[in-house]
Amino acid sequence: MNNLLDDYALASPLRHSNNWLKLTVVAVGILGGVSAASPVTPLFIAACMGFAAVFLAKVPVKFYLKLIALPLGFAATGSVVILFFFGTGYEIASIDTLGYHLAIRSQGLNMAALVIARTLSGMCCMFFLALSTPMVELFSVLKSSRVPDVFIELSMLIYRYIFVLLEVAVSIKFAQTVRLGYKDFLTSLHSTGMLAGTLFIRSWEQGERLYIAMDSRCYDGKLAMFSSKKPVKAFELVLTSLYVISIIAISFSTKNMSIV
Amino acid sequence: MKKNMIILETRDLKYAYPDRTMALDGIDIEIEKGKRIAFVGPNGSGKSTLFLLLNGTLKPRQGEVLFQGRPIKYDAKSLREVRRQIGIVFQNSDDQLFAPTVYHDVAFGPVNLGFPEEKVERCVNHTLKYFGLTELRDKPPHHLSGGQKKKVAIAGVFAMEPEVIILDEPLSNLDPAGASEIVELLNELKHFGKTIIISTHDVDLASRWADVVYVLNGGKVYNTGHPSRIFSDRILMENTKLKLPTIVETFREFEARGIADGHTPMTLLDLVDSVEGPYIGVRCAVADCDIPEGQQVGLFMREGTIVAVPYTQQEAAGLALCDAGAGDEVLIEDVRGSLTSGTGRIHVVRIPRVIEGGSMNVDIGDLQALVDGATFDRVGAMGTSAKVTAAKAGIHPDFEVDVIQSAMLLALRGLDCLVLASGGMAELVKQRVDERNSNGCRNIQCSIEKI
Repeated sequence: MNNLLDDYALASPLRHSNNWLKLTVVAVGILGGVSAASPVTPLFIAACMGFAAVFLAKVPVKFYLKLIALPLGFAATGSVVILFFFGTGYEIASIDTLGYHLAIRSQGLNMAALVIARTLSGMCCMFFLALSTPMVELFSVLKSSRVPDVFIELSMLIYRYIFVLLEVAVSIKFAQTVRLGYKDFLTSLHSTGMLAGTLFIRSWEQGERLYIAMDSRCYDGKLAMFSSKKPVKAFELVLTSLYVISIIAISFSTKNMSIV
Repeated sequence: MKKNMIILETRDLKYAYPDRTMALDGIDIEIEKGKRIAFVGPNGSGKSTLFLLLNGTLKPRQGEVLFQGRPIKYDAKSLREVRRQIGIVFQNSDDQLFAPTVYHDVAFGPVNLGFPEEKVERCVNHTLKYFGLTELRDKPPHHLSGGQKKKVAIAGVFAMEPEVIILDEPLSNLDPAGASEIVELLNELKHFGKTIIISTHDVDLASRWADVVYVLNGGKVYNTGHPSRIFSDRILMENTKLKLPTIVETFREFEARGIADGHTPMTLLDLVDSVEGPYIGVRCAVADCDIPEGQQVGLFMREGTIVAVPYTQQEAAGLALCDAGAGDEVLIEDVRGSLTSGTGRIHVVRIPRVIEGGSMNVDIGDLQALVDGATFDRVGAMGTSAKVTAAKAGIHPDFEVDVIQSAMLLALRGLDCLVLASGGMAELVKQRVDERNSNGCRNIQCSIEKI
């Protein structure tokens, strides 16, 4: 349970920066990355976000690289397909296997590079948000953007009880394991089914107890939600403006650039 | 007993579960304001059900619950008022902590009471400070330890300023340090005039903590009264599947061997008193020099232990049972006279309460000078602001749990104690020591100083 992204976000020094500023940074990053025509802009965004996550949000580098490697693996497999089967243009390289002629063409190469770069930038943006802004802060953002209270409160309760039920699930699973509940495939299936069933009943009971607990404390349809005021610091503002301007500038200047 | 002192009572309360087993079968209780009440009884005796009836969550099948002399009404508005006045802390803290951070959770009650935002903030910050939780305010509940969760749960109820606080098994799943911290907290709350009701299986806790004990069994009040009456009744305890408190059991064995008598003790201090004095003709002392067998020795207290020297008009004397060199332990028989001359004193320093500014209003230098200047053998701290102040002044208290009793026990061994006590607790120490002195026990000197 130690590697939850939310735990890093709670410990991050960026937790106390202005939420809207962070959201702006991420939104600009995602839009900039997706709309870019060349891989340069997304790579620049990814680099910025990576830098921010590691040096400003103080996420351990090793953990961050592991985190990035996961979606990158998916993107890489996808790109291999694009590389060989997409696009027109002149042939860069080709292999003949089993009578098939597999060729990498220039457009396919460009496309594959762009896909990888965009994936990377998008993921870096999302990870930056996840690693610097705990759920609690997002709830207050939702609140101030006038999302109906019902949804916010539900998500707050769901968020809280994820951890409670996770703990229950882990201990049930452990209890099953020590009694050989996962010794082979069939037993595992059976045990997983039991785990799911028990968890369902437990969460039902938990819900009932929660209701009593809330009622006992005079629940009146209001959960405390305070967005503590977090002024944007001048330094942050300068950094963000620089970042946005660079993205726009790079976007325009590399519009017609391609690797081949 | 004046009638208007009763804050909560039930009359012939009956409640059945949906499967028609009677959970409560005619419960009559009367709870006085400002008392500490413990409900004990085996599993399934109806304690938790009773608690849910007391704050109006469950509706009785028969009978009624009266709060401040008026029957509880079950419409939404009246229930809200009842629940504000009667706070309940559940056994499992996870049932109760549902907000994403400690701050939000403590704020839950005040927000739902409709306080304006500034008042909520003030109220929550004060509560957090009072409970020593300020550091944890932005933490999510799943990052807290069991003891911290319990504290937050109590704080969340306390923030609504209830008259009565009900705690279902407050010490279950806590380690000893966490448990004693919660007990201290409960004692502190009692000092605010709150009425505190707990349920527990821990007879040791109930016997030393409670003013009144209710024994529940099979949905009925089996017996009620002062712990010393309830827990000295072996037959009652056996019938209700409870065990005797360790102190009572120890006393019984001593009594059977003729080395203790008097009332059945409820606290360690009572137990020590019951074996003090003339009952023990043989003592173990430390020889101060070579003492041959059969020599008449004088006894006195030094630094908390009994020391034996060749007899020269000491107030207590006896005969050495064996040869001993300096520093050896030696058995002394035929002990006569009293060892009281060596009783230590208790000096209480009153530290302002959190409300009064706590450690901010204490001249730390003065306090350090007091501790360094006078010769105290042990230092104790009682209450949140006293503990904080001690930490600030670099004083490491020797005892923080059961402070009054610990101080008296040390004083009886001839050690001088300094007790830092928050607010009105200082007077409480003096009051308890004076009470004891007036009971004809060995006199302990106690003085109070305000700082």
